[in-house]
Amino acid sequence: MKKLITKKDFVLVIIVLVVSLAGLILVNSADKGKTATIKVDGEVVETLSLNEDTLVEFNGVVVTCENGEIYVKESTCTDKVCMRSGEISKSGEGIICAPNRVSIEIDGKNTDLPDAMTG
Amino acid sequence: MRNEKIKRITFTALMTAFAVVLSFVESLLPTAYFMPPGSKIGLSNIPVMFSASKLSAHETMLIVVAKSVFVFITRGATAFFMSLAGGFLSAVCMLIMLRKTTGFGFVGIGVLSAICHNIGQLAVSFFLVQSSAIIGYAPIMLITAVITGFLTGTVLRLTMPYFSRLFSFKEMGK
Repeated sequence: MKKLITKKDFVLVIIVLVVSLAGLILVNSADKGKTATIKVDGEVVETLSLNEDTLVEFNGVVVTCENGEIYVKESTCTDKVCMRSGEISKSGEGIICAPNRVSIEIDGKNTDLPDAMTG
Repeated sequence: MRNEKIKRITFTALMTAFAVVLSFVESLLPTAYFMPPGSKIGLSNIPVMFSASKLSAHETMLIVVAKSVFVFITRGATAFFMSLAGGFLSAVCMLIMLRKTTGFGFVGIGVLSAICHNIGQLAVSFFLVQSSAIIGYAPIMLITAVITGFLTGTVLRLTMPYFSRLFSFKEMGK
């Protein structure tokens, strides 16, 4: 029978942890975003400004913006992953609700770039 | 020969029941605060892993499909597709890793199959929402995969001798 843990396992665990920690740090070190894009079925339905407190509803997902942070207040889905995802405010962060096919993304610098260049 | 076949069918049925029950029990447990929302330990992967090492590939896939159908009944269509895609990918990973000499132990197999499960789920959610927002879930899912994969791999290694003693039929693939 195979061993419980081998050297290769140890290396694998370390690599996975380093990659995921790097990913976490990358997301957390991002600047606060200014706008957020809400998509349904991959189509952009609304762009919110994070400076304004708002409450919108798409496909049974109630999206709330408060104090520069966005979270899902209510959803008709069964697993409520979107509601438990908490607040997002940094560029690149996102919340998805797969059963309702809704996604919320904080826009990053990359999306501002074309505007800055044309402007 | 006939006896052998009956043994295999019984064992497949038993592992299916095992996977379904564990999947249900798990849905009752609260998610730990440090884990991403909706994440599970993947206890039902243990009987699937055991099948992958003792039964044939198609018997293992049968268990995966049966488990997903149960998920469909209790948690709906989205959860079904996620369970099916994740289950299929992780079963393929287990089948390869448990049968070949790869140098990985049970912990490695558990972690890699948990990651494969996540990839399947993320692929389905990407197909549904068509947004790059899901990538943000990947790092925390990977960390969770390490923890849960370690747990399931360890439990499998510890229970394997008892399971094997209970069902001593010919090893597959030989």
